[in-house]
Amino acid sequence: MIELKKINKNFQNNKVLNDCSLKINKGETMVIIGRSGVGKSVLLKHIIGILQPDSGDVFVDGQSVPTLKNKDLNKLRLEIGMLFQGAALFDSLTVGENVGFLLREHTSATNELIEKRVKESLATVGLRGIENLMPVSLSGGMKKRVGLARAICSQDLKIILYDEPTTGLDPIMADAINNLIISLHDKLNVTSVAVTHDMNSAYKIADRIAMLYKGKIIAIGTPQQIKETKNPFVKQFIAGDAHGPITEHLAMESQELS
Amino acid sequence: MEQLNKVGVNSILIVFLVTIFTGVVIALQSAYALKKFEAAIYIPGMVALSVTRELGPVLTALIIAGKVGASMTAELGTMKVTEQIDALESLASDPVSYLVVPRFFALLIAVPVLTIYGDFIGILGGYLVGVTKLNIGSHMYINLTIDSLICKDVMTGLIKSVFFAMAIAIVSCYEGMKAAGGAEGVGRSTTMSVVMSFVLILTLDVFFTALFYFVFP
Repeated sequence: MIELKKINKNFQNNKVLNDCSLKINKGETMVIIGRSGVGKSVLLKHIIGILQPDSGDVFVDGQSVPTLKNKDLNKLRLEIGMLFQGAALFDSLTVGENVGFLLREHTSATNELIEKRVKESLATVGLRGIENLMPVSLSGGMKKRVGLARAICSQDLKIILYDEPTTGLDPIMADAINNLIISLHDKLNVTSVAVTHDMNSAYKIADRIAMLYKGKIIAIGTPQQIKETKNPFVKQFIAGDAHGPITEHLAMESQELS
Repeated sequence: MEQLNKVGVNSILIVFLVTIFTGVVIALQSAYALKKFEAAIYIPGMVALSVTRELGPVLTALIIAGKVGASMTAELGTMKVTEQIDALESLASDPVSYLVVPRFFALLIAVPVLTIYGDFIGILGGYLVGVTKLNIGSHMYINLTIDSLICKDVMTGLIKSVFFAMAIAIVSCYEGMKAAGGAEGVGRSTTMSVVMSFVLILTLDVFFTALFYFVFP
């Protein structure tokens, strides 16, 4: 379904992804964990073609994303919904216009049909009657849910990408979002890829968990396998320990630099 | 249409203020210089030529670069750093055709129109000084203005203004779309956008003034 093959990506001499490979099966929920700034969002943006790899290839449904022409890439994007970290709602449009954006711009759906779909999508994420509000007047949790409603408004959705879906939310709202991700997955029968550093969320929603470290996937397995891992890097991360190989490496690197 | 409103209609007052004061000042300064030679009669022509050929287009463009260009960069830059541009792409829309093209055309229409308006208001500023303070009759002032202006003067100003508009649009959208690094980055891009636009406008002005002077004398 989704396959990343030896992806390399640099930003201003900073190697973010280094020969990174990952295969995500159809219908599964894959959670990618890793420290902040390790390149999780970068990896996600390669799947939807917002970023292009310096080398390597990304396959979605058998199509090589980096080589797709704009027209074909946009056609593929109609099948992929993405929830951004800060929701990334368009501030100049109302909630309703945000959610119905894709249908209005890219389908011949009538206004009534779009309104109906917008209402349905908002209802799916547990929101009602806020179509005419502007994004500025929403709380963080509501913005995330509207962002999610916008991501699932397309009619032929096959993949949903979540960038830090629970970051910045209170624990109750975070759990509500987790439940939403699970129910969307069951209801729409989609392949989901989430990146997060929230381990509670990862254990709850994942079929498989992969850990990204230094531009590579260093471990992959079911939540149970990850919990029982022997890999010291993964162990330190999932335990949330300030002392361990990850931080030691970091200290060594900064020493070498100075 | 919304962009045209933002660029054009919202700038009418500031263009009015700047150009009318400029007209007044040119009339007064040239009166100071020309009165010694009893040549006040040349004042309407001086005001008309300097406003239509030079100050109308350049001042209007500088105002628009500072007011509209900066806000475009800040708006697009904020969209960029809050991932709204990425979101647009993820929703299968091209940010350039959705965000840049309407702004480009709004500027391309609004800047020349505001320039014509600025020319007119600048001449009006000169007229007010000429008629009330320099004892040139109203009819006389208007006739002297019309006599001294030829179509080429207004046209060269307008041609300049079209290129100024393109410069402002390209610089402010480019700076906005490449903003990075949060609020500070947006601030940096906005400053850069205004500075670059000002430098480009003045450089283009030198280029076109020289071109018109030597190629179409």
